[in-house]
Amino acid sequence: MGAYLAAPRLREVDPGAAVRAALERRAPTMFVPVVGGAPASMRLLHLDAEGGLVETKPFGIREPAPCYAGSSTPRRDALDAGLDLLLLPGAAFDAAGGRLGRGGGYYDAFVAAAAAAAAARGVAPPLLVGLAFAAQVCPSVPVEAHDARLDVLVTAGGAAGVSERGRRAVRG
Amino acid sequence: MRAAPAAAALLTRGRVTVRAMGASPQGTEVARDKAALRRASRAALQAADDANLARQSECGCWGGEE
Repeated sequence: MGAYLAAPRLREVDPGAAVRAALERRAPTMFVPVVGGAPASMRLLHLDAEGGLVETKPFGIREPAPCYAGSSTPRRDALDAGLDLLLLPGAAFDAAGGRLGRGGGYYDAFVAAAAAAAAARGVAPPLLVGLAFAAQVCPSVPVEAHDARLDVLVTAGGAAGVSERGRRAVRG
Repeated sequence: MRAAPAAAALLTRGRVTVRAMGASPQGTEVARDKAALRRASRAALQAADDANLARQSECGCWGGEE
């Protein structure tokens, strides 16, 4: 499972409780974003503990170090391990799966890479789940061909399937 | 501060202009719409935060005191 670590400055829905629960139970395996390198380059690396996260500039987003604590072993990369589900933040969302990010294109590029990696392995791409405050849901978000469309939109009111796959997932 | 509730209203009423894909070959109009929506979203969340702070202050539970 991939999840972002919310930065208070960005006023994102905080999935911290889900991340902490996964770390305590050691399931599902948790991957979190690390930004860097090429433009719009974001990897999701394995998070095995909350300790040792480093706040990055300019938004104070917490990221894990490239290697596991006290080790020179690189953290596992989600593109190699595979992801079943990815939680995405955003600025605005709509009921058709449209998602407006912050303009960096990080998640769109990652979702495309994850879909390609999944196709190469012959498995389904990660289910894309947006987390939104009610004020962030609007009738229509402008989307372009490269924008990733969500499968499920979660608000305080519950989870709504916003793609056929998402509707099946929500129905269980 | 007056601008924030107005922007929030724009967002919730869906009056931020959304143009169809392909209306601009360069995508500049879509980019402009996206920027406007991001501003409206920030303003809406700021307004919600302000309202929460005001409520907390009024009910006397601000700062952890009940």
